[in-house]
Amino acid sequence: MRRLNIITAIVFGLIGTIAAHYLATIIFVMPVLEGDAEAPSGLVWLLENRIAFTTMFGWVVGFMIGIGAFSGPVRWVLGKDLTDEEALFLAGKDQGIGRYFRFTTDHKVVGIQYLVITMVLLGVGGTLAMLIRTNLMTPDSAFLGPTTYNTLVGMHGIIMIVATIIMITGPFGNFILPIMIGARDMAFPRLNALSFWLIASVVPVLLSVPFIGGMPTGWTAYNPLADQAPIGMDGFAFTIIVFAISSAVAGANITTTAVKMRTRGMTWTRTPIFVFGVVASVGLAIPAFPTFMAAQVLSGLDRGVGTTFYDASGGGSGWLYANLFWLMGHPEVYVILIPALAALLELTPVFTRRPLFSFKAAVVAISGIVGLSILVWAHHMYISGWAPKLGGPFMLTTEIISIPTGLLFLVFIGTMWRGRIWTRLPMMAVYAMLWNFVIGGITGVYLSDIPADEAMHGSMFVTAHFHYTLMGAALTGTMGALVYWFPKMTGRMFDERLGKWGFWIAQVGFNVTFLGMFMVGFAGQPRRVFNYSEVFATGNFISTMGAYTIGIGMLIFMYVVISSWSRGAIASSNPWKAKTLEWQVPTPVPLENFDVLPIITSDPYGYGRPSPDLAATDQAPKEGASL
Amino acid sequence: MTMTTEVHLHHDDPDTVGSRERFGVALLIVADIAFVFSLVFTYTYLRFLNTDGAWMPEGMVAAAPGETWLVTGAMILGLVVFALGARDLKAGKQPKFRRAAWIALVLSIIALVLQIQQMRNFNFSLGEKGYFAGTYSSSMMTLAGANAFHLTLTAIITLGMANRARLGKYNEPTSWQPRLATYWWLWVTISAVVVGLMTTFLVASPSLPSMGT
Amino acid sequence: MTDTAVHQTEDPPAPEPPGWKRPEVRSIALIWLVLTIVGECLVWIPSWLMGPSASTQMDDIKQTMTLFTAMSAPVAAVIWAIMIYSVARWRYTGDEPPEDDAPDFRTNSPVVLLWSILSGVLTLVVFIWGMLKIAAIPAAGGLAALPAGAMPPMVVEVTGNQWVWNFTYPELGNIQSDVLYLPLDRTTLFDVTSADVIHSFWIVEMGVKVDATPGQLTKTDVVPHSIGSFDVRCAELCGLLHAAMETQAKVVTQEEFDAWAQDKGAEVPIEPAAQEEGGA
Repeated sequence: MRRLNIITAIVFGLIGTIAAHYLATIIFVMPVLEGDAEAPSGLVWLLENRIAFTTMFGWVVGFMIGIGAFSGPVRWVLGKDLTDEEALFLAGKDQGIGRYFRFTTDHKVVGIQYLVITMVLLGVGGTLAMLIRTNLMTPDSAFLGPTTYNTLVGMHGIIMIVATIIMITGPFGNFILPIMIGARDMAFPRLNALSFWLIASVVPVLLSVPFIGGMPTGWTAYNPLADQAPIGMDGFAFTIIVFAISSAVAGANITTTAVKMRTRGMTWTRTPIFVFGVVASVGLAIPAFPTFMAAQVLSGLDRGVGTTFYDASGGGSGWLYANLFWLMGHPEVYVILIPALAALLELTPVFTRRPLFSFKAAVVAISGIVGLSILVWAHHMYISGWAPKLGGPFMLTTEIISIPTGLLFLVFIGTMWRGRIWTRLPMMAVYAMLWNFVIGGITGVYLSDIPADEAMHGSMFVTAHFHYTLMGAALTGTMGALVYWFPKMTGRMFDERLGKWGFWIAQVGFNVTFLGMFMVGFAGQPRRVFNYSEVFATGNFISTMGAYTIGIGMLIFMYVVISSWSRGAIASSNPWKAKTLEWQVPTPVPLENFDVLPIITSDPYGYGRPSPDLAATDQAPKEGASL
Repeated sequence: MTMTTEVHLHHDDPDTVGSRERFGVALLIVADIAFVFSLVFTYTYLRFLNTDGAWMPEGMVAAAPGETWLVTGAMILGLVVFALGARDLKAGKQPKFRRAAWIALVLSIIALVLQIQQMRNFNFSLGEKGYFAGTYSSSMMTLAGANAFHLTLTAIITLGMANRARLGKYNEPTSWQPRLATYWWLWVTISAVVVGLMTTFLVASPSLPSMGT
Repeated sequence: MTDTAVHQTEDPPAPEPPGWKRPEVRSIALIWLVLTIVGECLVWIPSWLMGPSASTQMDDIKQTMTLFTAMSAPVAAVIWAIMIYSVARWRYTGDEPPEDDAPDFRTNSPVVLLWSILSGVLTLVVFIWGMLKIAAIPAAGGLAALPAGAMPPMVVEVTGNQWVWNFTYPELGNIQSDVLYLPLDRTTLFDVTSADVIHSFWIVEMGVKVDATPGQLTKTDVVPHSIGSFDVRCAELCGLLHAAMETQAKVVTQEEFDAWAQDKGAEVPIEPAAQEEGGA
């Protein structure tokens, strides 16, 4: 156990890959060759996919053995439980930088690991976006060609989806949340490490997809189109299956931590709103993602075992895939959005020096969105002809979501109302998010309307809409959250002087890009096209110029993250004078966070001097008493 | 970012840990419920659609439900034995739990073997070589496979339980650990019963074939 | 300059005026009004970007777009007005957190209530509007009732193939075409399916869109009300040349349509009964 780290993981992974590949070839192909000299082409196709799946399985299992993920379960079965010393070693005690490259259970290490992998994924996905926009700069561009273009569109989609799903709950849900609730670690530290290393093991599989045939399907991987695709599709399906397992594990872990491990006195009304947002997100993922996983399992069986779930001539249906996919697919957008908004809700009071406006409304709004989000999946299928009679009900549930969402807006502007707006970068992220999310929300109302959707569905309008929500709101929120918690996580201050240039350049570029995309969407340009008619030239050119601007801004921002992390000014333990618990512990945060667990007597939003219209006699500023 | 070295490990009391782990296991079971629900939805939805009349193409014989119920019967028995054993443990009767865990382990392995046997006995080969003929046979094989996967996990968990009981790891205060395994046993058995009822009573499609391609 | 509003409220210990009479409320209301007026002046843009309309349902869709935009402008203006005012007047720019905090009120129940009711009303309006339009125009898979005395609808079978559209006219002796010809002002019923993967049949200027799914028949219909040539595209990623899966929908007069069908029909044998029906 002590000798295992990422190097052994890669070595074992490669051994597993090769072993699985040869074993699969022997087990699956040999009997066929012995049976009849010429195997039918259909069977050969099944065998290819079967070998591809087995090989990927071999990589992940080998990698996980090599990192030490299985030593816990094996020792449990054998009855050799960890000693305290071993548990401390697993937590990364006295290992310096090495602990980031091991199966380390300390939640702060896992948080940093998630942060790094998220940034890598965002970087790759962003680069792909630049390539896509370059191809679309002018009509009839031959920059990428249809095969590459289609694969890159799918890769951009799935990489960004994975990255944005983990971008708040991974880094901040792991690093910040346990400290925020006064816990010494997560409820299941080993599952925590497992959830991260599962993702780390499967990212190479995902990135290999373009090199093993690609996936011409977009990230939705609709069947039966996916059934035709080369073995790159197996890489996609396999990634989703592993990712869903990781999400379920992380979801159970974070939810249990937040529900069961809040320190004494931290009642639900005294729990920071960020905790609600993270629990809503990971809790929603628990029932949602397995349906996505099931969709991919069935897809893999169709491709590798010869079942006919999505094959119409064998009794299957693409509607089955679409239903399973969107049963996950719509909750998933809230899995991405809610924690990012909750992070901004958490930091808004700090930068307005005011209590969160209507904490109750915020909780009701988050719960309302979560509850409704599982009842709206078919609005992605309005025009599929799947169940025309259900259009009305799904339109109603979809539009009702705008009520809790509107309530969240009220909480934001209510907290800003008469505040001391401290114009640091995290607060600027709140402003940028509000601007973008207003546009994303309103265009969502257009799309919720069935007749309007008949014109807009499958067009660039949809692409622009969801980028306004997922990028304009969620990613912007994440950038704000990163700057806010940067001092606690890295021990250094984020250089806002240069960082804000990166941030605002990216924001301006973002709005240019997607306003251009709204234009061509209204005019009827379909999504996911490598080429388009001359009439869409202006809008696409605008979009591409905007995209390059985003790229420049993001590069600056990334540079500032790296340079501040390595040589920024040393941060004090509470540079923002915030009142939540994570700012009351020293920086860097010691292993196990608290020597003595705190007792909570009030919520963490006790900012503000008593308002004259509420208590005219009491002028003394109230000290926050969260500790 | 160096750590202080003056760290000692804090231990929470078993009751707290137990309540935490019960909650976590329940959540993981919720995830598995969603997965099984997806497969049940697949079966019922494709049966309803009957695309191209290929739910059960002509000549296809439904699988005899006997084998399904044999597997399920073994699982129910295993659940009862294990749950009673866990109750005995809570009452302080460690040897009784030890015996129950071994019996449950044997039952889970028997169920697993029977399940694999059923998958080998399925006689669905009507399609092109290597392919299934229709969605009924595809669904049956997948549901059986999912149950075999459940049983493999159950056998591993029960093996751990039995072995750890042999080593004397379980007593009254730690009886919540076997209770966690009981939750899992309960869920996999329920899922087997639900799927068994579905595949026994909902076989032929109620719909006329939809148009061909 | 940065914090006049806050200091004004701090100095006199007398009770503050009620919320709606506070000075910032008037300023914000003014900004809101300006933004709303600007927004309302721009409501024509979506409809304009959508280009010409070739059917009544596209008219309805464009009308919906304009209405929703008009309704959205004041809503967006509320948020944006408060954003603009707050950053202009309540701003604090220091390196250290401000010494003095802002007022500590935690909620304002009437405002929360009013906000919820208003958003509920807006949602209801949007929903009712949508339901009325669904009833009036054919939704995907749902068909509109024919007006009395109208000509019987013509059926066109649409098949999506990778990567071409194929149109078959069963009442005209199964003549086939890769360009969609439609007679003016006559209800056309589309029976849509696919030979391979999921496509989405989209006549852009007519607001017609329905998926073409293998193994299933999906239906929609349209009454073209303008002569001309319109774009047919695929709206669901269907593989390599999805982007090139385009053709034209040509709306012509009934006479021209009959002539075209005659010409086309000469290529394949036409059943007499079908020809009569087509010419009727």
